[in-house]
Amino acid sequence: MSYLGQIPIYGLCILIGLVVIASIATLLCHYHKLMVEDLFIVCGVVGLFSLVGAKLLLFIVSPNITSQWGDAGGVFYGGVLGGILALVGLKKFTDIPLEAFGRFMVPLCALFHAFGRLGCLLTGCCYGIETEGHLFIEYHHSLIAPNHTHLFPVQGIEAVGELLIFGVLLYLSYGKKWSSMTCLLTYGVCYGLLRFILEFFRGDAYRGIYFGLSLSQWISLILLFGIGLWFLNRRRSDYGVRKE
Amino acid sequence: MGIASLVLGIVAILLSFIPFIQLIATMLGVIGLVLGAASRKQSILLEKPTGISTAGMICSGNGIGITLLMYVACSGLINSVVNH
Repeated sequence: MSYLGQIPIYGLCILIGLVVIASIATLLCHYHKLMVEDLFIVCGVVGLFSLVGAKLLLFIVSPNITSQWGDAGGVFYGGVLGGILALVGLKKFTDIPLEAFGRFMVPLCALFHAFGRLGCLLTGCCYGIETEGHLFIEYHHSLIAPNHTHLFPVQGIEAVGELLIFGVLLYLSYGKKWSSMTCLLTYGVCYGLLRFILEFFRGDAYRGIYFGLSLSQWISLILLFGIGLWFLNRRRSDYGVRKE
Repeated sequence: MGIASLVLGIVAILLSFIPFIQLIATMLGVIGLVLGAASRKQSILLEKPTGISTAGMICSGNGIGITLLMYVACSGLINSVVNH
C-alpha cells in the first residue's frame, strides 16, 4: 500500500468517496421525499453483501494474497454479484420502493467506483502495461507497481470512464426518465465494455489468464451476454403483447 | 431489533479501536445500522417511541465512522513505526 505522508491513500479515497456518496444520497432522499431509514437499509444490506462478495471472489481467485483480506481491497465483480443478490432479497422480502432509490443510487455507484479507481491510481495497484507513449505514469515509491518505469495509467482512464458513465446514467435517469432497472443494465453494459477493453492494457496478471483472457474479461463477457439475453427476452415479450 | 442495533453499535465502537479487526467492526456496524433503521421505520409507522432505535443507529454509524478513521490513522501510525 502507498502512503500520503503516513496515511494510506487507497483507504483515504474510499473514505472520501463514502462521505461524498452518503451526503448526495441523503440530500436526494429528502428531495424525493423518501424515508432516510429505507436508504440506510438498502445501502447497508447492499454494502454488506458487496463487501462479502468482493472478499469471497478475491479468496477464490487469489487465495495467496492474504494481506488484502483484512484490507480495503477486493474483486469488483464479486461485489456486483453480492449487491445484485442483496437487491433481489430486498425486493422479495421488503416493501422498500427500490425503483425510486435506484433512480439516484445507480449513477452514484459509478461515482463511488471512480473514487476507488482514483485510489488505485494513487496507490499503484491494478497498474497498466509498460508504455513508450506520451500518456504514462511513473511511480517512485510504490510497494505494488514497478517503480521508475513508464506505465499506462489504466486506472486513471477507468476512473474517467466511470465519471462519464455517471454523467450518462444521471442524464438517462433524470433527463430521459428511464427506469432504474434499465439504468442498472445500461451501467452493466457500459462498464462491461470499458473493463473488457481496459483489461488488455493491465500489467498485473496475478488474478490469472484463462484461454487468452483475464478473469475480469470472462466475467465482462458473461455479464454482457446475460444483459443481451435479458433485452432480447424483453423485446420478444413486448412484441408478443403488442401482437395480442 | 432496536436493542440488537444498540448492542451491535456499542460492540462496533469498542472493536473499532483494536487494529487489524476493523473489517469485523465495520460489518457489525453495518448490521447494527440496518437493524436500527428497520426498527426506527417500524416505530414511526406504528407511532411508537423511536429512542432506542435512533440510539442504535447513531452508535452503529459512529462505530463505522470511527472504524474507518482508525483504519486510516492506525495504518499511518504502523507505517511510521515500521519506518523508524
